[in-house]
Amino acid sequence: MKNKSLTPNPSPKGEGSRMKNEKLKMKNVEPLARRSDYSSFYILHSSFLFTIVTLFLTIGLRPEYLIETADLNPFYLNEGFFRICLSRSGSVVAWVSCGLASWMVKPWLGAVAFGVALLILSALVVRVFRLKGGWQVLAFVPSMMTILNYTQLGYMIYVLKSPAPVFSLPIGLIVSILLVWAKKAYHKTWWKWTHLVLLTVVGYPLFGFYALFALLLCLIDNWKDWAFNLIAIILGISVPLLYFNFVYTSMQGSQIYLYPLPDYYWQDEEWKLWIPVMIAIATVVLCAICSPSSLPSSPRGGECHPDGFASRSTLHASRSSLPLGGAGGGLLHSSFLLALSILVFLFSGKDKNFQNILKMSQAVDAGDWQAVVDVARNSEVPPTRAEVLFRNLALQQLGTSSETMFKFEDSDAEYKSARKHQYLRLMAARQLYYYYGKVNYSYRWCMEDMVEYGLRPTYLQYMTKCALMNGETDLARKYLTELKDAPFRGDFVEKYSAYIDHPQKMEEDAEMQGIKRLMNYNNLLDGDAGLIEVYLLNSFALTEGGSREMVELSLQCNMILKDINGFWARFLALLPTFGDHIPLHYQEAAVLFSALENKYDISKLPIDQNVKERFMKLVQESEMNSSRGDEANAQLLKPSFGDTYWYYYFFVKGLKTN
Amino acid sequence: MITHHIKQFVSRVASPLAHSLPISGELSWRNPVLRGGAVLFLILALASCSVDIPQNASQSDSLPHITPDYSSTVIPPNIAPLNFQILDEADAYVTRIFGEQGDDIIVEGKEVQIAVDKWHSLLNANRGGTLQVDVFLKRSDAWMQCQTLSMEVAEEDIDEWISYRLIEPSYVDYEQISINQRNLTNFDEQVIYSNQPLSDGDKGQCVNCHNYRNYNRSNEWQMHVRETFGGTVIVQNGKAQKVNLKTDSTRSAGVYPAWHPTENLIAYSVNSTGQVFHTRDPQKIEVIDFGSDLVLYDIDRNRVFTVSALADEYESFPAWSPDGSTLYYTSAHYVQKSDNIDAELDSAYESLKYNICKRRFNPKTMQFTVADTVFNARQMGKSASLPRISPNGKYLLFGLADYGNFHIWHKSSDLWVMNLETDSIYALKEANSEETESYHTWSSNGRWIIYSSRRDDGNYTRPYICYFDKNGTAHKPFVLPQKSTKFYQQLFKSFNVPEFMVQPVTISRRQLLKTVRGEAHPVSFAGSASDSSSSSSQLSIPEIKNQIRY
Repeated sequence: MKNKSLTPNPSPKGEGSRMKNEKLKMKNVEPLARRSDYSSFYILHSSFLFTIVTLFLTIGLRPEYLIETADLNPFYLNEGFFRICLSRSGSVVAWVSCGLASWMVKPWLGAVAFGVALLILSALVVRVFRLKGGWQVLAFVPSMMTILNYTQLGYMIYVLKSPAPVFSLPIGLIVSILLVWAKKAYHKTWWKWTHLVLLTVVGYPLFGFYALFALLLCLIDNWKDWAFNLIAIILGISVPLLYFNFVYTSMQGSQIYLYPLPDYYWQDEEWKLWIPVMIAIATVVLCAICSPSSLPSSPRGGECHPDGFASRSTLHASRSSLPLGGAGGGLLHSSFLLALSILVFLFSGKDKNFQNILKMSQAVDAGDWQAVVDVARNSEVPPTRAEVLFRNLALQQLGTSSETMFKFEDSDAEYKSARKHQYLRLMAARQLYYYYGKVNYSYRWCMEDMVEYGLRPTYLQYMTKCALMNGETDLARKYLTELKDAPFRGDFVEKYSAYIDHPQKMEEDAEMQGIKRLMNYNNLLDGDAGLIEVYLLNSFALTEGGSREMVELSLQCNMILKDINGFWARFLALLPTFGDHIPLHYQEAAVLFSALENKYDISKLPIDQNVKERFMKLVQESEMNSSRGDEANAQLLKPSFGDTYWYYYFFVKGLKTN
Repeated sequence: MITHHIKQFVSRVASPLAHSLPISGELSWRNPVLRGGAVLFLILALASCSVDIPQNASQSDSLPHITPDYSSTVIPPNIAPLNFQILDEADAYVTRIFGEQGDDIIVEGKEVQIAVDKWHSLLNANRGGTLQVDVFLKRSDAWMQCQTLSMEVAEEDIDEWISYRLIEPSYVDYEQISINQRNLTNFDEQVIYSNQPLSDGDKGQCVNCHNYRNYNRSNEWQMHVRETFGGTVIVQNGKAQKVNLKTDSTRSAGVYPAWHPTENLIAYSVNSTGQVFHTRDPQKIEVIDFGSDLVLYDIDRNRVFTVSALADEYESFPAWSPDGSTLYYTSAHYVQKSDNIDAELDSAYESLKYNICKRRFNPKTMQFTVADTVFNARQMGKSASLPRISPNGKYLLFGLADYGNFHIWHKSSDLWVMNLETDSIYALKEANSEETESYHTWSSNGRWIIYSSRRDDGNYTRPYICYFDKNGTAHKPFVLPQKSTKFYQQLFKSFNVPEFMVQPVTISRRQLLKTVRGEAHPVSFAGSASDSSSSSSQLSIPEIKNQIRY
C-alpha cells in the first residue's frame, strides 16, 4: 500500500458513515488531476505515450492507408446520405464515424482525430468506471485494440460494408460509456427507468449495437436489481426485433443486434479479426464489473446506488492493495503501454505488397507515373498482379514500356487477406480500364462496386471522369454535385466542373487526350467476368488498327501473351515509325522470334550489336545447361538475362491473375 | 427576413409567454424540456407566419429557372405538391402560386416547399383550369418579378398509388432492392418488400416484376424472387403463396407477367436472357433475349400451359386487352444459324426486331388462336416492346427503339401509340426525349401515363407522368414530385417499372417475408393452350398496313 491516496478512502467506520462520505464526494467531484500527483502523472505520461504510438502506427507507418480509407469511405453532408444512415440502426454512430473517416484524406488530420477519439475513450473509461492508480492503464486497452482493429485490416478495407470500421468502434464505445455515465449521473428511480426506456427505444436506432452494449453495462452496474435487469433484458431483445420487423427495411437479419460493428465473417481465418474488437469490449466490461458503483451496498433493492469510492467491497479493496502506485507503478504503467503498443505493432498489417499497391494507386490517381515506377523499382518483394499492371500502365504513360517493361520482376504474389476476393478488380479495375481507354468498363466496375459497397468517393470520381469522356455531362454533373458535399473533394469538383462549363478545357487535358487516343476502336458487346488482366491483354492483343498508341499497346500485349504472329503483324506495321532505333524489347522479341521460326529476315533491321551478342550468349548458356530443368535454368540465367524479354518468354509462366 | 421574424416573435410572443407561465422550482425557464418546447413552438409559429408579396417589383423578361421543370405541364387535380427549387441566383426569393379560384400560396425561399392541405385546396378550386406561378427575386435590395409560369390542372384524377422497384442502374451485382409504393396525393412512401431482411452476407436476393390485377382493385398481385429463397410470390385474398413456375417442359420460370383481368390466370413470358456490355456505346448494357416463349399459369389449378413455343419466334412481354379476350405480346423472328446462340447474338443483336402480335383467347376452352401481327415494327426498321392497352381498349401504347426489346437500356426508345380503331400509329412527341423512355403504363382512367425516363442525366430512370387527352395527344410530362427538391439529385437508384394502383398493397412485409422464406410449391405442366395450327414455325406476318405519323 505505497500510495494510499490513490485508494478510495478506506474508512474504519461503518457502512453508513462511508455512505455519507461518498455522497459528499458525489456532490463535489474532484478533477482527476487533483486527486493524486501520481494519477495525473500517469494520465499525462500515458496519454503522451499513447498519442505518440497512435500517430506512429497510423500516419507514421501507413499514411497511404489512411488516404485509401477516406477514398473508400462514403460521407456526404446532405440529406440523401443522412437518409442512408437512418435506414439502419446505429445511424448517429455511422454518420459521425463516416464523417471523421472522411478526414483521413488529409492523413494528419485523420490521425489526430483518431488519436483524440481514442484519448477520449480512454479518459471516459477511467472517469466513468473510476479506475484508480496503476489500473488506469487498463483504459488504454480498448483504445489500443481499436488501433489494431484498424491496422490489421489490410485488403479487407475494400470488402467491408459496415460504416467506417476505423471510427465506428471508438465512437461507438465512447457513446456506450457516455450512456452509462448518463445513467450513473442521476440517482433517482424514475431516471433509472426513463434511462432504460430511452436507451432501448431511442438509443437503439441512434447507436445500434452500442446502445445494447450500454444496456449491458447498465445491467452490470445494477446487477442486483433483478426486476430492472429482467425488464432491461426483455427490452434489449425485443426492441431491436420490433425495429427490425416494423421500421427498418434495409437491415439484414444477422445485423439486428450487431450493427454497426464491423461485418467480419466468423469463418476461415477471418474470425481472428474479431479478437481486437472482443478484447476492447471485454475490457470495458471488465472495467464496468470492477467499477465501485457496480457493487451493491444499499440496503434497498431497486434503488440506484450512489456512487462512492470507498463504499464497496473486497474487489475494490483488493484492487487498491496492488502495488501499482509511485514511480514503480509509473514504470509498470509505461511498460504495459509499451507492451501493448508492441503487440499492436506486431499484429498490424505489414504486407509490403499492399503498401506498394496503395502507393501506386494513389500515384495513379495523382497522375504521378514516375512515382508508380519508383515504387515498383524500390520494392523488396515479388509483386502482385496489381503492382505489375499499375507498373506497366505507368511505363506506358511515360512512354518507356518498350525499353523497360521486361526489366522489372514479374510474379503473382498473393493478396494476403483474411477474405478471398477479386482484389485486382476491387483495387485497380476503375483505374486500369480508365487509363487504357476502356471507359465503359471502368464505369461499370465503379457502378458494380458502388452497388455493393456504397457511394465511395473514389467511385464517384472515376464515374465523373468516365461520364466526361463519354460526353455525358449531365451525369458528370450529378456525381460532381454529390462530391461537392464530401469533405476535402473541392479541388476535384472545381477542376471537373470547369470541364462541364467549358468543354474545350478537356481538349487541353493531357490525361484525357491520352485516353482518347486509346479509344479509337469500334463498339462491341463483351464482358470481362471480373478478370481484368486477361480482358485487357486479350482485348488489346486482338485489336487491329487504331491509333499508333493502340497498335503499340497491342504489340506489347502480344509479346506478353507470347503470340508470335500477333507480334510480327504489329511490329512490321510500326517498323517505319521507329526510325534508326527499334525499342530494346522489340529488338529482343524480333531476334528471338526470328530464331525460333525463321519466318522473317531481320538481318537488315537496326538490331543493336549488344542485343545480338547477349542473345548468342543466352543460346550458348542454355545449350550448356540443357540438362537442367526449367526452374534451375531460371535461377541460373536470371542474373544475366532477367531484364530481357527472352527471360520472360522462357521462364515467366503459369502466373495466376486476380 | 427570417431573423426579423424571429426577433419579432421572441419580443412579442415568446418572452411574455415564458414569463407569464406559472413556473417555479425545477420547471424554470432554464429547464431544457421547456426551452425545447418553446423553440419548437417558435419554429411552428414561424412556419405559419405569412409572407408578403414584394411591392413595386420590376418586371423581368425572362422566365424563372426551376427544377424540376413543371412549367407548361398538365397536372392531375389530386397530385402531391409540386415542390421545386429556384435555380436563379438572388438574395431572397418569394413565390406566389395562384389560380382563378382559391387562396394564393405564398412561399419564401429558394426551396419552394408547399403545404399539402393548401395545395390541394388550390388544386381542387382550379380543377380544369390553370395554376400560375410568380417568382420574385431580390437582388441588390430591389425586387424583380419573373415571367409567370403556368400549368394546367386536368379534370381527371390520377390513381392514388403507384409502385416501383428501386434499384441502381447496375450491371450484374445487386445489393439493396426494394419494391415500394407511393401515395401520389402526398409524399407517403412505404416499402412493400425489401430484399435485405432475407439476405445475409454474400447470399443475396433479387426481386422484380411486381404486377397487379386490375390496378390492384382486389389486392391481387405478384412478384418474383430470384436467387436466395427464389420463386414467384402470388398474393390473393390477403394471403401470399410462393410457387416455382419452372417445369421440365418450359424454358424458364415465369418472367414478364400479365394478370388476366377476369380469370384467375397469369400469362408469362419464359426467357433465356443474358447481359453483355458495350465497350464504347454510352448505352453501356445490352440485355439480349436468346430465346423466349409464352406460357399461361392457371392459379386455381396450379398448372402451366404453353401459349407459344415456336423455335424461331422470340415472344415476350405479354399484355391482356382490358376485356381479357386478347393477349398482346412482342415477337421477333430469328433463325438460329449456329450451335451457339449466345455468341451468335452478341454480334447480331441489332437484327433482333420485335413486332407486336396478338392471339385471341377463349377462357372457357383455355385456348388461344393463331398469332396475328398487330404492328410490324421490323418493316419500319424498328423494334417494339412492352405493349400496353388503354383501359378503354382504344389505344395500344408501346416502346419503339432501333432493335431488341429491353428498351430501358436503349437511348432510341420512345413511347408510341397505336389507335386500334384507326390503325394509325404515332410517337408521343411531347412525352419523349433524347434519352430512354420505357416501362410505361396507363392509369385506370386512361388519362395518365407513367413511365421511366432517363432524360435527367442519361443513366438514372425517373418516373415521369404525362397527360393523355381525349384526342390521343400526350402533353409535356412532369417528374413525380418529391418533398425534397434535391431528392432525385441525391438518389443513386433508378425507378424501375412504375405501376398504377387504385389502392395500396395491404399485405404486411412480415407476411411476405414468411412466405418468401418458405418452400416454393412446384407447378405441373398441362400441355399447349394454342390451336394446333400455331405449332407451325411459319407465322403469317402481314405487310404493314398502319398509317404512321412521325
